[in-house]
Amino acid sequence: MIASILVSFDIGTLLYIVLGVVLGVVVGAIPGMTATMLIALTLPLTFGMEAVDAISLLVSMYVGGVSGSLITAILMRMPGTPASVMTTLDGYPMTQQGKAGRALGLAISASFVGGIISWVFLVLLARPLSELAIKFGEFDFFAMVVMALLLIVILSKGNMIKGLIAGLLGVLIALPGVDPIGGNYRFTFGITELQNGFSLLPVLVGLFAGNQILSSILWPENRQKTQQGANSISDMFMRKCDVKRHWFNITRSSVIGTWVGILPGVGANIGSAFAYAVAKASSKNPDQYGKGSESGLVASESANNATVGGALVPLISLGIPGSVVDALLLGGLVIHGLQPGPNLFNSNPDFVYAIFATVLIANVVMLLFMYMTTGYIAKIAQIPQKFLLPVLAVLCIVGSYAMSNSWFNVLVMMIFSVVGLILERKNYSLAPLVIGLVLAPIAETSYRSATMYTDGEVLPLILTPVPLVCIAISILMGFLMFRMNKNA
Amino acid sequence: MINITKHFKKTVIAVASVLVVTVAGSAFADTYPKKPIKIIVPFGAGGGSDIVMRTIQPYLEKSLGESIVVINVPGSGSVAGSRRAKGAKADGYTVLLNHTTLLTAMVTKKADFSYKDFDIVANAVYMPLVVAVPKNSPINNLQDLAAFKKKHGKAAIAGVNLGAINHFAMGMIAPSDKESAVRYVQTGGGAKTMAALLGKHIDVGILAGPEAKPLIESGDIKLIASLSDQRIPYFPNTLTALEQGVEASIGIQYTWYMPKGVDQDTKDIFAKALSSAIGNDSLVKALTDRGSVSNYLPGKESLLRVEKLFGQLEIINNTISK
Repeated sequence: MIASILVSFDIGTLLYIVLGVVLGVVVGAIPGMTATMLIALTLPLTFGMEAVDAISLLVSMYVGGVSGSLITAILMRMPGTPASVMTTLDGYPMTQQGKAGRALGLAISASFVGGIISWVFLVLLARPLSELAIKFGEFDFFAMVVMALLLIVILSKGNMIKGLIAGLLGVLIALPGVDPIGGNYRFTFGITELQNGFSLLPVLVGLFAGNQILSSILWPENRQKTQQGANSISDMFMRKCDVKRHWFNITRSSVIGTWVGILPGVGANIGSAFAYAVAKASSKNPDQYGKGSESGLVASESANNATVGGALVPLISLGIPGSVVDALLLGGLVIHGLQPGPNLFNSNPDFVYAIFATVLIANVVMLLFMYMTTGYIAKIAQIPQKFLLPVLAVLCIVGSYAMSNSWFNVLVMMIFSVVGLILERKNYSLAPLVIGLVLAPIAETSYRSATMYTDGEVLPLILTPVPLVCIAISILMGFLMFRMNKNA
Repeated sequence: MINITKHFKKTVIAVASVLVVTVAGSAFADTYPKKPIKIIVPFGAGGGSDIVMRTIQPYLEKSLGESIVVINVPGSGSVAGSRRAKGAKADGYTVLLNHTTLLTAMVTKKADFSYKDFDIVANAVYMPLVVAVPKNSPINNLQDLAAFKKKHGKAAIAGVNLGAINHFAMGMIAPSDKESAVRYVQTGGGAKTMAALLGKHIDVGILAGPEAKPLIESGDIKLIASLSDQRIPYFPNTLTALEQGVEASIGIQYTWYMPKGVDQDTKDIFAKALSSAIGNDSLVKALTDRGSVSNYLPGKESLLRVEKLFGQLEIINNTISK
């Protein structure tokens, strides 16, 4: 099969892949621009291209875009796209500790492995996996999300109350806008712009980057010390001991990311939030999460890249787009007269192989390109703050504005800069807030949808396999935690 | 020498005719259009509506003799972009391309304005809707669906996006009396409804014709009716609801709106250009390949159609929102 994959390729297509990855990485790294926007803008330009070239370009942009956002997340505490917000949590503290190069290196390697693991699933198990995914009912979704939330609560040591408050705040931020069921507006307070709710990116950029800028202005003595010479290139590559330490975490996170990607309508940010929650729950040092934990970083990055391959699974095997980007890809395919669906494999096998090959090659290109440039990019961490801060401020504003050409989003970003600042000054962690913000909409939609199937009854929903397993895991983890605390 | 003169003459004529055309163009400049026209697509780039617009764009530019700028303004189920178009200057340089979704948003009061706040230029391009059930489902036609509750002792589960067009379409074909009513559950748009049908979580769902096509052809889902007036060309064996004696005709009908108060001549020029673009054979083929129908209905008839459909939707809204 590998042979037939490679045969379906020529040098022109390869160039498109390189172009796509490079553009994707650059756009992904710029806050306010996402792979989705890049692909949407590129799509009309691909109408005149060969189908294989078009789809290779678009898929490569997808792979590059999810990867590129780790750069600004780690170096500037500014998630380039929502997919890398969990990366920010541990990546930026590592930069503050003078380990920017190492953080970038680990994140890039984890991204690559995540991409490759999901690729293996895509190539070998596309059809059975999507068969399994469509068996998943709404309440199974809900049980999975609640398990992730419970694990975080159970295992957050120390400030459990503060964690809960931050998590609830995240849930509240997710509420205004269009009611996911019925589509009516809620909590818009008569503000037309709020009818779409708070866009994720301005909120995240404000909470993390805007907050950081304000804090540096108000308390200059706390400013991050400029790091000199701490970012040697040799730190970037994974060593044997790193592989030994992280292989299980990366594999698990990649599998989680792939699975979340396969589930329809669930994006990369959720895959990474999920993997982060599970990694923290099963870590021996959960205290370190949010303070520069390497495990948190690799969990987030391997999972968000794995969602790319995962989301292609239902698209190729059933014609059902797993994410917004996949809906765009589907549009691109249809323009070229290719209708993804169960028959695509029989009617256009070459084409399916070409997509497989693209995902693989794009991941390799991503790895090489990012390794080659990271040495230079990491130097951003050495720029004195007085030069970096104004640039960051401009990026925050432009990025928020560019999301949907609206000043309202800039206002949202500014408000959440203040919110983030207050929370962190009062020692509230932003991680539970983000997890609440990202997971609450899924939990709400799936719960309300599930109870419509049973006319409001909850018991018949719980007594099905997936929820029972989730409950069992949660209780088991809680019990173990309790015993550990007792012994300690 | 003669040759050169000849060439020279030719060149002069060519240049002159270009000049004449240009001058004529500017002489005509007090007629519409004399600058690029903005067309607002109130959905995201790359979505179904965006693809329809971008497919038509080159043909429409040609027949208008002006360039078109497509602006995607997604949000609030097409209400955000429609509102922007409503507030634009009524000079014919802002056009809104929206479909039946705008009417359902108005009926359910998600839009705080009405189709009467716009000038309807024309209806053009139509995407049919179909009624689908899982493979091996005991439901084979709309009569089976109506009899489901009595026969199986429980209501058929209908997956829809509450308040959206597939909900209204389901409301048109599904019985509403207590003995045979279906149970509505939230699945969402096409992709999610397809997944729910494949996973047999629901008994019946509404899909757009082109998105259903691959799963129908592979036999993974089954069609029980199409909701267009005539049979869908690529599903020739599927009976329409009308043929099955159910008064239901609803699809994704694209309507071209302008802000209220545009000069009639301007609207006519745009409508005429649209009509000739839509009639182009290669555009017809391009649209057909994507599962759409390139129907065209001028302004007055379109308004009547919209009024009629709006009335039907209001009646259905009373039954399905109970």
